Amino acid sequence: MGNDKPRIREVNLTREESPSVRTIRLYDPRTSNATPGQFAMLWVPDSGEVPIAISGTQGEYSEFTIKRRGEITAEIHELEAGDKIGVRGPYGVGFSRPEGPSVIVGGGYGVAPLRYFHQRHSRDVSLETLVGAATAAELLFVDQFNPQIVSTDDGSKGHHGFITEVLEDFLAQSDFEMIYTAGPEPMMAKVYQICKTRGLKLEASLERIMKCGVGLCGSCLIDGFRVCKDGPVVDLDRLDGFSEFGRWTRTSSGKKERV
Amino acid sequence: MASNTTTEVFGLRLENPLLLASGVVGTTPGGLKSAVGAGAGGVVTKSLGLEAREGHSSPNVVGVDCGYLNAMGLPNPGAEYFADELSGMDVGAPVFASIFAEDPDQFARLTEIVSPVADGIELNLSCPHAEKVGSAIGTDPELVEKIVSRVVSSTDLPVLAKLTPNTDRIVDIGRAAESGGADGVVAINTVAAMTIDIKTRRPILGNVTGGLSGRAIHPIAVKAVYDLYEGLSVPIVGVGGVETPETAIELILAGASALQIGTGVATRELSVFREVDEGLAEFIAEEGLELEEMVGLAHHK
Ligand SMILES: Cc1cc2nc3c(=O)[nH]c(=O)nc-3n(C[C@H](O)[C@H](O)[C@H](O)COP(=O)(O)OP(=O)(O)OC[C@H]3O[C@@H](n4cnc5c(N)ncnc54)[C@H](O)[C@@H]3O)c2cc1C
Ligand SMILES: Cc1cc2nc3c(=O)[nH]c(=O)nc-3n(C[C@H](O)[C@H](O)[C@H](O)COP(=O)(O)O)c2cc1C
Ligand code: FES
Repeated sequence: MGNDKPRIREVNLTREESPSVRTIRLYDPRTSNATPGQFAMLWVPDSGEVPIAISGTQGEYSEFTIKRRGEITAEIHELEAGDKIGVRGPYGVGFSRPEGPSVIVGGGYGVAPLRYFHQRHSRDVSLETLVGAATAAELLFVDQFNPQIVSTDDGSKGHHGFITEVLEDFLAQSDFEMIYTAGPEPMMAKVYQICKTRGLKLEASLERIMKCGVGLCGSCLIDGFRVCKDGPVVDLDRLDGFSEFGRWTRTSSGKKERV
Repeated sequence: MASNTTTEVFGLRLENPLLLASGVVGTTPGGLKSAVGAGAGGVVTKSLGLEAREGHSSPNVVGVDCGYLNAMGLPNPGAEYFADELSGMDVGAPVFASIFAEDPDQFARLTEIVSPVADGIELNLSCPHAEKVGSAIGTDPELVEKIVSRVVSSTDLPVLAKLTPNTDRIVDIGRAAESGGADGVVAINTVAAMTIDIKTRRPILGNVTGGLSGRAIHPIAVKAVYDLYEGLSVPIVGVGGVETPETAIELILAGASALQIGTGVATRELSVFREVDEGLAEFIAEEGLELEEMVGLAHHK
């Protein structure tokens, strides 16, 4: 309730990650304690509010890494150090703590929560990273991940094609048991299929339209499951129970739309 | 499920008197099913209109110390679309289709669309933050009577009128619904409210104003139900701030034959239905009463 009112923060720094992606950093002790995979609602006064994953923390500062898509994310890209922004959260259920060597599979801006996951756990367990993007310039956080494999849709760097096309070969030569993934749903659906066939464990971060973040409004439902409150991170068993995963998402009015 | 909370209202048998309130999680048939799975005795759909609507610009929901403010703006995929998705699906408990419109003709058309897939109709005459619909028409007793009678003559299903607390005439409006032939009334919808961020000096909701729900409005709901019970003879569905067995019992004593839970599914878990039902069952057993006997007991000295 009272905690679900935006806290007004000053932008501490901004950073360009790629031609279409920027990171902003805020002093916000609450989100800086979040579990990787959790998200916040960022409010740009007079523009609107969007759900954004926490992409990293430093002390009591939190970072958010945002792709420019429509009006509100474009407004966030305009922010400079000293500008004000509202933040509420963290919300939802994040990734579990890895118990052994694990694989991270990220695509597009989906790598944002995985970067925080990596930051939190790479000292304790060995994490191999596979990342995909549209082109070389859009590959995010490669210097931090030190990825095993990268792929680009246009072949400008690494494997020419989807990251999932090389994931199977990679897994065949290793004995990982656990995969953490975030990115476009068709990619995650493929990762899910691979995990099913190979009997691997999986956690995936889902994305749906979120208008409240607290489990009230029903805009984020997948098969009646509230992605904002009971997700966004779900495991393989949960995915098994969904008929809409990999197929259908919902528009702002609640109509079904192909993912 | 506790058997002493099984009840019958509006000709419908309910496993328990706790329904999912309109607009909360019930935006898709899957959401309705989840609420039943978590113990709801029945469900109300998101309010449906003739056309698909995206709703207001964000922020749509903001928390305050005593509850939540929302200005969703009635987003919905359109009644026909929703009815299509719902048809052939077994929700597992009675489904009330909530509808909103601008005039009696539109209400009648919507009633025809949703009746084949619903067990009851709830008329949203009370949303406080949408133009030309909701409380914009639900505060005029004559219009309310006209709408209700048009809807009642367009369907065989029980028809409930959901009332707004944002008026000093809630009993008059309830009576108008009753004269129009309503089988019951639902009270209350959210209370008109807003909040301003003091640092940016901006109203927080994208729509500037919205409706308050949750704990804060429970005493307002208790009074509305109490007053309606004095003035009406049809059954009353109590809604507003039900999050615990105690808050549910209070509304029943004020005169509610059934209840709805909205915000409670966020402040607690979806299992709020089961928890409140269990607490209610315990209370009924301890007091040595039947559920039906408890309704309106606060009116008798
Ligand atoms: C849990 C979660 C975490 C996310 N984390 C990130 C992140 O770390 N970085 C990032 O760049 N993006 C993230 N997103 C996506 C981000 O919220 C959308 O890109 C943003 O809302 C688009 O808003 P807009 O006004 O710029 O564009 P619009 O023009 O309004 O929309 C563009 C597209 O974004 C999606 N979208 C619109 N509104 C919403 C909404 N309220 N909730 C979710 N999706 C919406 C729709 O698919 C729409 O077609 C996340 C989404 C979710 C649900
Ligand atoms: C997010 C949200 C959306 C709502 N949408 C509707 C709606 O579409 N139609 C309606 O009649 N009431 C709607 N309501 C009002 C609720 O059904 C209910 O009357 C009100 O929230 C009070 O109950 P509560 O305190 O248990 O939430 C909505 C409430 C909330 C919080
Ligand atoms: S975003 Fe409102 S219920 Fe999930």
